[in-house]
Formats: sequence, C-alpha cells, structure tokens
Amino acid sequence: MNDPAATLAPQAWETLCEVRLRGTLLRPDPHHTGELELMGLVVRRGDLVAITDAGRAAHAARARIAPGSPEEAAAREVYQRFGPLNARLLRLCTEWQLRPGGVPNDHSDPEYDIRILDRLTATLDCACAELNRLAAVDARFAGYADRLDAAMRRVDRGEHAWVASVTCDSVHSVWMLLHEELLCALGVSRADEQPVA
Amino acid sequence: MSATSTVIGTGTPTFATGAVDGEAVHVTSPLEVLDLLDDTARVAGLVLLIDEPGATFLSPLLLAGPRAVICTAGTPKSHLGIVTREFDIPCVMGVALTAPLPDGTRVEITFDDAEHATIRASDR
Repeated sequence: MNDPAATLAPQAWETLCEVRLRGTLLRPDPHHTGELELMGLVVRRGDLVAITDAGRAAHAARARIAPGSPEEAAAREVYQRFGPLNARLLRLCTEWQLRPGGVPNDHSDPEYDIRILDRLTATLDCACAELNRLAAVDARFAGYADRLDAAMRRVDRGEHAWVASVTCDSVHSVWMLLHEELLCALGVSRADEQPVA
Repeated sequence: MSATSTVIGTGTPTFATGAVDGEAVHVTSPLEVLDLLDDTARVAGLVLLIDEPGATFLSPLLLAGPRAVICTAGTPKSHLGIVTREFDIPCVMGVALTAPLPDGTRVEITFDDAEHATIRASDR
C-alpha cells in the first residue's frame, strides 16, 4: 500500500497534518498520535512529537489537491497572490521588531506602531478575502481567516506578542502554517519557491 | 576563540550584537531537533547551521536557547530572521560559505555593522 495516510481516522489525520505543518508538536493527545507512531509517521521523545520522512511522504500524498482539478486551479490562483502578500507580511513583522537603522522597537512610539499595525491589518484583509474564496473549495483553509483575525484582535488590544511570537498562534505563526499548507496542497517545495525580496 | 582562525563566510545579521562563538551543528530535520534536545545543556553552546530560511520545525530548539544561528539562504526578513529576533538569538542570514563547516567546528561570528557579519572557523 503506497498511501498509508489514506486510511487514517479523521483525528489521526488531523494530528499528522498539524505535526507536518509545525514540524514538531508539544504534548499532543496520545490517543491521536499512537497510531501514527506505530506506523512510523511520527516519532515521540518525551513531550515532543516530530514528523518522520515517512510521515512527510504520507502527508504529501494525501494533502496534494488533485492536479488539474478546479480546486487546484483556485488554490494556485490564491498562491500566486500569496507571494507578494507574504513579502509584505514578513517585511511588516520585521519593521515591527526593528525600527529603521536596525534599532530594536521598544514600542515607545505609538505612531510608529500604529502605522505598522494599520498596514498589517490591510495586508490581512487582502489575505482573508483570498482565503474565504479558497475555503469555499477546500475546507482545510476554512479556519485560517478566523485565526489571523483573532490574533490581530489581540494585537489591537495591546498584546504585542501576538504579532510575531512563536509561543502563541500569533499573526506570523498562523501565517507560516498557512504558507506551509498552501505548499503542501500544491506540491510545491520551499526550495522551489521564488524568493521575494 | 583560538589564536588562528579562517574566515569561512559572510552574511547579513538580523540585528546588531556583540561577537559570539560556539560549536557548529547542521540541523536539517525535525528528528535532528529531537536528538539535540536530548542534551539541552549542550544546546546553549551551539551555533545552528540551517539551509532553509522558511524552516518551521526549529521552534523547540530555539526555545532551548542556542548561542546563534547561521542560515545559508534568505534575508533578515525571512521567517527564520523574524523568529530568531523574537527569541533574541543572534542570527546571520544569506551566508555564502566558502569552506565546508563540519559539525563540531568552533565558529566565531562578529557583527561588523548593520549589513555585515563575518563567520570564522577555528583552525585545529
């Protein structure tokens, strides 16, 4: 059988997706990872679970949208517009962390911060419009717009970590997962991506 | 750092900081992250060599506080640049290595200015 992920129970498949997108997962529900461990798709060490090469391959086969399908065409269209949005978002996260001249942003200048956050909000608005269209043809993309919106609302309440922290589902964290999800859906490897300055 | 060392590459720092040194280790997969986390005390002395500026699997290792990160591609605006800044971990992006950097090599990174960092390997 060359597609070991095809028969996974829904919860196990969802867990495999999450481990694949994040690379590692801290303290996942053992009920959902047991089967994956037995199949060699993930490895557990203490509290951490990591994807194996076999797990990546199994995920890639099932995550790929059928080539030539209308769903793939829709995803490809969104992916093409994602590139420039991605460059904008990464630049804004960087400017949020560092002011011109490479000075760390100590967030003592509310006008500077508000300028960045306004542009971040505008970028996410563009992305969410795309995502809503995509979610209509592929359910796996359904949650991202809400997750980005939830993170941005926390930022708007003054919780700065929700811009780019890796320890919560910040705007940048969720965006990275979305990026990885798009690459998996279209069978594109990061190495093949055109760098956007 | 030993008295004799050789420049093996330059790149763009993600933020300005003082010189750092440590033991180079090439990290290419989530499984290697698990292996390295078996010895968290050692992680504090490591300079991680990364190929992929969009790597999503490094977070647990970055949480363990490596000395520095060197990435052979990307820019300070890449995912890895943003993430290492969040952790306050010195990082050099877009490094073109002019010599192989085997695991265990002692490396020193100097942050020369906002645009340039230099990586040296100790001659043993």
